[in-house]
Amino acid sequence: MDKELWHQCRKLYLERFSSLKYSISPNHVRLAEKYGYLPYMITRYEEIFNGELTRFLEGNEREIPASIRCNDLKIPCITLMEKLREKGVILSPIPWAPHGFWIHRSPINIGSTHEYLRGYYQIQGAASMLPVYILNPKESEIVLDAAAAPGIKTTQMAQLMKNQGVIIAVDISRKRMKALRSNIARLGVHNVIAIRIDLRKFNTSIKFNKVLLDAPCTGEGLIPIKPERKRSRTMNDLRKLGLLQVEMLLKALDLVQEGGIIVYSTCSIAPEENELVIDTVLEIYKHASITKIQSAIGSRGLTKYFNLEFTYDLQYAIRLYPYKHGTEGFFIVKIIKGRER
Amino acid sequence: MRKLKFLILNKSEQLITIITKIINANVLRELIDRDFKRMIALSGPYSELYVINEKQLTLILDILINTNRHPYYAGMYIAKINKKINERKTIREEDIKISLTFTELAFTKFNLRKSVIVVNDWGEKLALYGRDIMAGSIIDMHPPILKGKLVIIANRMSEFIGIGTPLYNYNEIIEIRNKQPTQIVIRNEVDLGWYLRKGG
Repeated sequence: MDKELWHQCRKLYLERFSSLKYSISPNHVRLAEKYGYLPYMITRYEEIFNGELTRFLEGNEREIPASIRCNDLKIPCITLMEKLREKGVILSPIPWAPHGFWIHRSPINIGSTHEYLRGYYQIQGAASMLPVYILNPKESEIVLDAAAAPGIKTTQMAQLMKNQGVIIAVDISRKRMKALRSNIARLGVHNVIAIRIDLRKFNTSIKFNKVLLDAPCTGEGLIPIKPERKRSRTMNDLRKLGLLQVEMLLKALDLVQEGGIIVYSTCSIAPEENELVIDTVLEIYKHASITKIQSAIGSRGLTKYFNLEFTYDLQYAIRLYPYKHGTEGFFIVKIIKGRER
Repeated sequence: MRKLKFLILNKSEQLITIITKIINANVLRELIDRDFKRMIALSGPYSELYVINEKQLTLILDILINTNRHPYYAGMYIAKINKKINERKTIREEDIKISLTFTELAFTKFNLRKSVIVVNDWGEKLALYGRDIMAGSIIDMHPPILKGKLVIIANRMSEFIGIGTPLYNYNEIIEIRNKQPTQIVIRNEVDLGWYLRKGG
């Protein structure tokens, strides 16, 4: 990775991050107390949701239905559906996720059925299935999963690739790599090479056809599932993670081939981890651009956030919200390398 | 460059022969000839045998040269192997512990029906909790069932459950089933419940 580019991106990100002008009003404090958030979060959410702030906050109080991804490497999805129905599980297909099913009700623990142990399905948030469908890896390709553990999306990619091609799955965490290994084995995946390393130190002469960067994030989109996230993250965490995301995205751009695709995603709705990261990197790294996502679900990415204005192309990113889409909060953008802006 | 932590095995043929003997079928040879072409061992905290294809091998070598990292997992996991096999002339069956992944593949995709015991629902439940198999839980057996040799444990729907080691031979198990159905006759080596208990 070009160090000069990284320094420029770092500087620009920090300048823009610290220039964010927002003020916490008494109403924000009141809402923060009512719903159990830190006040700075409410201020930011008002900027994002404007007139729909209360709907958003109320939406975060509701449970999101569990969802699974059928693993058709091991079983036809129709057969899995029948097997689970026989056990009293009430499920329905997720219209925009070809292998996804909503679990409406289950008399058994969906994470420990025999079908689960046999690798017939994977428990996976509905929104988190989208990045892989958008990346659309093909059987002949060499693909990088740049923050792979615990391998939920790695195994989804393997499924779309019909266990062909090669997926290089990189992650830094020893503990999570163990889970990745277990998931790969359980789901019958054979086209993965897993490497435990910090992506930023990963060097190779391979140029990948496609890269999935499901970046480490604050998880601000997971509040309905993990309510402790209402109070556990600070602006400082956002800044630190934002810088890490910038660095990882630059590395991903370095590793993908000319004309190759990067799908960047996070389970966060924070613009500081999404639009600001993308806009900063693409401001400095001119040899890549955002490309339109064909998706049946999602709201547009933000092009303005407080005093900051982002590239118009960020409207082609998609955002998912619990109150609007019934999924965990998510951000996805598709970037193509080699198209000068 | 750091010392190579993975090996392209020089005892491949011996390993294939032993594994063929252990599972009573030529599955590994077929896998290598048909799909994977290469067999490697990853060592370090583990000593594990994998099959990979030529493309995967090229990528592994590239990463090793440029990043100085050996893979954590690659291709298909076949077995855990004794690290000392490269120092010895001959490989023994005890040097190899066949993986759940490979055995499951042999049973489901290669339709391996030798050395299989079929258990009832209760036996299946217990096996998936890591418990051993009682004689009374066995509803069918596909010989050879030999004391100390590997058997595949399946349920009545012919679905794979795990791997076990018989504590008795075929005829003895039949006899025990009639006289002492609660007696343990198959030691559970590893079952699919492992993914929940230890898989992470």
